[in-house]
Parts: sequence; C-alpha cells; structure tokens
Amino acid sequence: MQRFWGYLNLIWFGPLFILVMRIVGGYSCPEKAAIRRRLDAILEAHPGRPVLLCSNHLTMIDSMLLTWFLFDFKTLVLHFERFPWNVPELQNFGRNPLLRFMCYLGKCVYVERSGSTESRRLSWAKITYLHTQGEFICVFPEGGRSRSGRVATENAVYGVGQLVQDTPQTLVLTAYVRGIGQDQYSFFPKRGETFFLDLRVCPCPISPGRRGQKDITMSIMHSLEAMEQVYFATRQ
Amino acid sequence: MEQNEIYTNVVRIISKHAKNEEALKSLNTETHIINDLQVNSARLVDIVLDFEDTFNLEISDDDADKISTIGDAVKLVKELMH
Repeated sequence: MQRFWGYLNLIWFGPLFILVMRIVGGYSCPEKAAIRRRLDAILEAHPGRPVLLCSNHLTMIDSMLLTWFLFDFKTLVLHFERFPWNVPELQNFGRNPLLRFMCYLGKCVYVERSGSTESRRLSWAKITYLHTQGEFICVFPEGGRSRSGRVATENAVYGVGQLVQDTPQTLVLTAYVRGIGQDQYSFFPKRGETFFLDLRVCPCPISPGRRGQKDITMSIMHSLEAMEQVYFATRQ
Repeated sequence: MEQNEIYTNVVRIISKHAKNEEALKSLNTETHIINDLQVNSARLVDIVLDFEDTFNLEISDDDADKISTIGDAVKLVKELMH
C-alpha cells in the first residue's frame, strides 16, 4: 500500500522536487549522467540481485539528492523498485505529522535506534522483506550526519551488516556524495552547490554472527573512506 | 576469574565508549550504560564483542539484549563463565 501511494506521489512530486532543487537550491551534479550510465552497467552485470545503496551522510536531504542524481525520472516511473527505501530515525523524521506523511510517500521505514529490541527487530524485518522483494534500499551506515565532515567509521551502525548477512546475494553499492563547498555537516547544502558523486560496487565477505556484521559494515565504511580520499586528493 | 576482576574488565571495556566523563567518576553496578554513560547504542555490539574476546565466551543476542547496567554485564559474564 505504501509503495502504491509512493508511486502516485512520485508522478507529481518528482518533477516538482527536481525543479525546486534546481531553481531554489541551485544544485547540480556534473557527474550525474556518467554515474547513471555506470549504475546501469552495474545493474546489467548483476541481474536479479537485491541492491543496497550505502552512502556517506552530511545533510538532511542526502537521500533525496542521491535518488535524483542516480536515477532519471523516467527510470523511476518505469522501475519504481529502484526508488530506494530509506531507514530514517523515528526521533528525527517521525514526530512531525507533515514530515511523517512525506516520509511515508517517500518510501521510508522508521527505525528507533534507542528503542526496544522488538521495535528494532520489526523495522529490520520490514526492510529485509522489501529487500528480498527486489526493492532498492538506501542506508547511511554512519547512523547519522558525520559531525567531523569526514566519513565517521567510528560511528558505524552494524545493522547494515545484518541486512547483508540476511540476504547474502545482496549487491552492495557505495555512493559518495558531497557538495564541493560542504566543510561540515548541515541541515541543507549551501545554495548553488555543485556536488561530487562517485559510485562503486563494494565486495563484502559474508561471515556469520555479530562479528560478521561488523566485518561487512567495515568493508562498506572502508569503501566510503577510499572514495573520500579520492575526492580530497583530486581537490588538492 | 573473581567478581572484582570481572567488574574491573567490564568497566574498562565499557568506559572506552562512554561519552559522559563525569559519570565515569561515580561508577557502580547500577550505572546505566546508555542513559548514564551515554554510550551510543550502536557501540553496544563492540562492547559485547570485547566481552567475548576478553572473557573468552560467546554471548547470544538474547543475552546481549539483557545488558542495561554495569551490574547486568558483570552478572551475565559471571554466569557464562561458570
């Protein structure tokens, strides 16, 4: 049901969102077309695998920007499963009714990180189900916006490793997105911001247990760190 | 391993992840790991992994979920070791 309403919402909200991002935000991503071609090639090379997008996190609209940069509108209309489900923290996005409604339409499953074990298990069961149904999932393995402005490996949340463990055929993609003028974390990117975007396949060795979840998550974090190093090296 | 030694090791492991340094000065078995020490809930997994390495034992998810205070951790480790 949520997927259905989300799809209807995409038809009118998608173009409006892109317009607002372009005109009001003044945002652009020069690598967008090349990365979309790269993503298409990756998906063609790995047909039928559930896709998990893992990204660094610096602003509150990262997931929306990522969706815009990675997929053109036509692709999302024809392949709505590629519009990624997000896993926002209930405390941040679930308290305000309007925000909650928008998140519902934007394919979100809330998680309460400091909530009860049952509540966390239920959220992850939903995400795992959607994942196995071929729906793209987008997570921020840092668990929140990085306070240092750099990939915060020390804050990694191992739930992402659990998701990969539960669905071992998962194709893990790491995405590094960052406004050129973004020094620290912020609510919105700066107006007129130009974004750097990189995308890689992240091979994850699957091993069981809690330690396995940590190892998988660390593989993802190291991939993000490597992309960040490339970003800063090319800007020196 | 004696209870005191278990307590000392548990405190050492948990303290590495504590954000509330004031609370570290008045630790006791009732100290809540998340609420009092402000340990990030995501770091509880690291703490449990450290317990497993330090005390050479395996902790199930259900047992790990029971750990709220330092006393809970000491009690669990003691039970699993004996």
